[in-house]
Amino acid sequence: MAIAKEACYITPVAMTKDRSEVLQGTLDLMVLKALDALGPLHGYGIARRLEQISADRLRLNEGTVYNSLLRLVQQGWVSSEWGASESNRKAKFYSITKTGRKQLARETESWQRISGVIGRVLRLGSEH
Amino acid sequence: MLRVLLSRVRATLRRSRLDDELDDEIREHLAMLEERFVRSGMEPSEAFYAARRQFGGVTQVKEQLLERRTMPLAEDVARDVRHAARGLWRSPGFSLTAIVSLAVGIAAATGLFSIVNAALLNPFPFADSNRIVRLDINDKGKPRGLSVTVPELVALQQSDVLDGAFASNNWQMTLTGRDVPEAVPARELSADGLNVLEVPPLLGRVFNEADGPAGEQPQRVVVLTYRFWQSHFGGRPEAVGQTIDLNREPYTIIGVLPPQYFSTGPEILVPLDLTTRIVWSLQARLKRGVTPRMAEQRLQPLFEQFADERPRSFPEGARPLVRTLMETQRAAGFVPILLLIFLASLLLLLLACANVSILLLVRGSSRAREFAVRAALGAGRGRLMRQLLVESLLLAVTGAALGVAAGYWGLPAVLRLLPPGSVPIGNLLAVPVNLPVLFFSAGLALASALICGLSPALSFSRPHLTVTARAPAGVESRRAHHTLLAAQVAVTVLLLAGTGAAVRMLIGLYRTSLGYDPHNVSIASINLPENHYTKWADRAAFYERLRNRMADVPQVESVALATASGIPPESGERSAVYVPGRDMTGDETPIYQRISGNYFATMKIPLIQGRVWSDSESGGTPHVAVVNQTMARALWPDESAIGRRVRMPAYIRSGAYFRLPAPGSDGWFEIIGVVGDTPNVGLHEPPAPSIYVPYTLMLTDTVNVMLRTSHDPLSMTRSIREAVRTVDPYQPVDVVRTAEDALADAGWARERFVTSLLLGFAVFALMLAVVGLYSVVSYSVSCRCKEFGIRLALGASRGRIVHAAVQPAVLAIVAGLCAGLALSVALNKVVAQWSIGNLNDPVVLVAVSLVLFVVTMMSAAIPANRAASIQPAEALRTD
Repeated sequence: MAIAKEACYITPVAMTKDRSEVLQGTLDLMVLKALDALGPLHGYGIARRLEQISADRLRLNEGTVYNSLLRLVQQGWVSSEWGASESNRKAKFYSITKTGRKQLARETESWQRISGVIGRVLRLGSEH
Repeated sequence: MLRVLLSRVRATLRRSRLDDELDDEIREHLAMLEERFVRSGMEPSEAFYAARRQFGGVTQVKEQLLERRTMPLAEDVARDVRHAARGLWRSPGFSLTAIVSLAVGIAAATGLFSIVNAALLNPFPFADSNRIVRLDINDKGKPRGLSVTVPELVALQQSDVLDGAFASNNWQMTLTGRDVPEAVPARELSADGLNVLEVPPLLGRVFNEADGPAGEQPQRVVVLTYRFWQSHFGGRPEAVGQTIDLNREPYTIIGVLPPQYFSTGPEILVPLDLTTRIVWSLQARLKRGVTPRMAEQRLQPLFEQFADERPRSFPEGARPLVRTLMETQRAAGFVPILLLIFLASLLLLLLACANVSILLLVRGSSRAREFAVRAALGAGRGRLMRQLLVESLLLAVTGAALGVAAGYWGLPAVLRLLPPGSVPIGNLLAVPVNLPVLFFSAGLALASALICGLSPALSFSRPHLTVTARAPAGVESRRAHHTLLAAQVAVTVLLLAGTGAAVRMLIGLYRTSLGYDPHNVSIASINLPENHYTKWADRAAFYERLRNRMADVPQVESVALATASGIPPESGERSAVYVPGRDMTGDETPIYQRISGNYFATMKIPLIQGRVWSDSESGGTPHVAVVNQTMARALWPDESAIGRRVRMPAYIRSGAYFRLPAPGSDGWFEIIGVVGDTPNVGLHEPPAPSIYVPYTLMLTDTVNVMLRTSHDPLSMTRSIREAVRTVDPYQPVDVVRTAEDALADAGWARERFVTSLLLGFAVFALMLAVVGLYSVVSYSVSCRCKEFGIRLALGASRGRIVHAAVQPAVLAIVAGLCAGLALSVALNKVVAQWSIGNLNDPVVLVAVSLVLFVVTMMSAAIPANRAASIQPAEALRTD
């Protein structure tokens, strides 16, 4: 089952030249990857991590992270648990499950294939 | 997909807790963002807004999550259901009428479907029953029973198109060792028969080939049917392993069958003796993928080989005939009638739907203002439609639940009405309501909800705001009521006409001159155990003792014996009768019946001419005979039959132990009397020529004792059995039947079944018509109240008001009546094929029209009366 290709909420503010929209359906993949790489995180942590990786070139409403998390939990790719944050606040920690890892591998592979194809298509013009 | 659904269902159930958790989570997230902004030097008030900007719309996110997490549609529908239930609860009269209408309709359709299902779709309890076939002979298009030798049976069993074959034989075994000897219907099966049928044991085991191999005496083992186990062992599992005495030999009980197997017919099963020469009644299981036609082709060489060896048993050009159990069942002839009744029950359900539709329309009309207001407040058309459909669905589902329950409880009563043996109801008795039936009922509920809810839903979901808000009832909606009413009446007429025809047929059948008095007449069948009383004189003496002993039983008025005859229309055997100097070829072969002289007195069959023999001359020569009127008329149309001599060669041929001719028979008979006709080839056919001769001339091993008693014959079963036992303690008596039962078997039961069901349907249909008309007229009166008030105030007479109130409904009824009559006449040809009477019968049609018209008019009288008693002043003052 593919990650839901629904519209993520795109930032209505601060859309500048060097900041891109989040491509439809890619948010789930990014969240999954973040959880895979860093272990259990709360929603805020995931938002920070995405911000950090994209080096501020990607802008998103942090609320949509929760949308993505709910989708992933419903699919059984992510599980959640209450715990305490670094600053001792109550927070819900999300972690990737075994099937989530499998899905991540599948999605990564297909993403690479698609982006490879898109890349080749885009290069077509410049070769001639 | 399922996982998502499950998580949504869970979330819906724990909704408030999850909402709180989500609130916490988002609050913490915002707090952390604020902290971060403050740390990076922002003013706290500015940080508050920055955090919310960064997060995006908090409420939107929450709403989105909620929608994703739970099932909004289901919740909406649940709200609609609650709303509809409250609405229906508030108008109990309406709801009850609608629910009961649908419940009765669905009960009738469900009950009949389960019978149809049992009879047609799934009649046999055997695994893969469409592979079980009967093997017969196709004699130039006519089916003939196949009998084979044991080596031939073995050859059939090894055929490469068959997974086994077996022979069987129905007979009776005498159960002794209990207080009275008892004749038990038994079936002998060649020993692997139960394995071929794939019948599993409920307890113990079933017999197999080792219990009765070809050429050896079978083991004395018996398998009990569930019925026998219940009636004789009270369902105790210890029965297995015990022995019972059958035909005075001990048989070991090796197993008990589950209830659905052999639920009618034989009560015990024993291995067939394969040391005999010939076996018959052959069944087989086709190999997977083999069709009956293929099997017929592949068995042809084998049959030719059999025919070469035994040309007498195989007619010239005979071919194998392979029929599935279903095909042999279909030949029974009851199926079309069953289908017709099933169709009638669907018609009834349709009527119930139409009626509920009318009720909904009327109710909807009075709620038009509510809908208009809701539409004005922004309810979409789909939303209104959904609510109306949910309402009718709620009615239909409640009705269906009640209907299935009623069908479940009422089914045994309907099954009792079924003509015996007409439908294999074994499965039905074991599992009365099964999965296909439940699916069918659920489908019916859904369909009825759609049928009765659709037209109201369509018409009210589009309220003309300005119109409806002002005027309470449009002429348009009333027209819809009347159209439906007319349609309902038309179908009702059709149903009533069918019922009327069936009733007339039944009355005709009861009136058919029976030629005898069946009241308090019963028949007990006495079957001599094998090789008992093998000398003519011994047997004659035994039968005579039996008759005398039975005549002494209190309340027995008269006893007659018969060795080939029974209760009319059951009769004797066919035999050629030769009249000197006359060529009888081409004439119908007469029926001859062997009876004791007092048979006619016992049955109250009148003597027309001459006399009946006395006991003393019954065995003497010349033999005497009595003929019925039909025979006398056929052979000697212008002269008296008395004194004529005829010859019947059947009386010279000597038989086995089971047919003992009187010593000195020469086959010549002198006719000494003529008696009245009784039906002897079924109730629907005119009587055939029949000749009665003294039973003593040919003593078979079965004798029927006819008794006329002063009380209910069935209450005397016990004393009759006792009487027989005093003559011979080992002699069982077969089930005592009454003449009324015999008549039921002969055809009364079929007509009674059809008639009583149709009559029930018709009464219900009439009630529906009454309810429909009543609600339409009272609705129209209530919404034209103001109009009538004005007309009265302007000087209209009360008679005119009544006329105005009922006239449209009367027109609708008359239109429906005409359409229904036309429909009945048009459908007569179709129905006539199934012979349940004549829909064209003018008496029936006139009677039906009258009944319908009078009854519906009576139901319109109440609201019409209300219209007439309107007080103009009050009517004008009310809103």
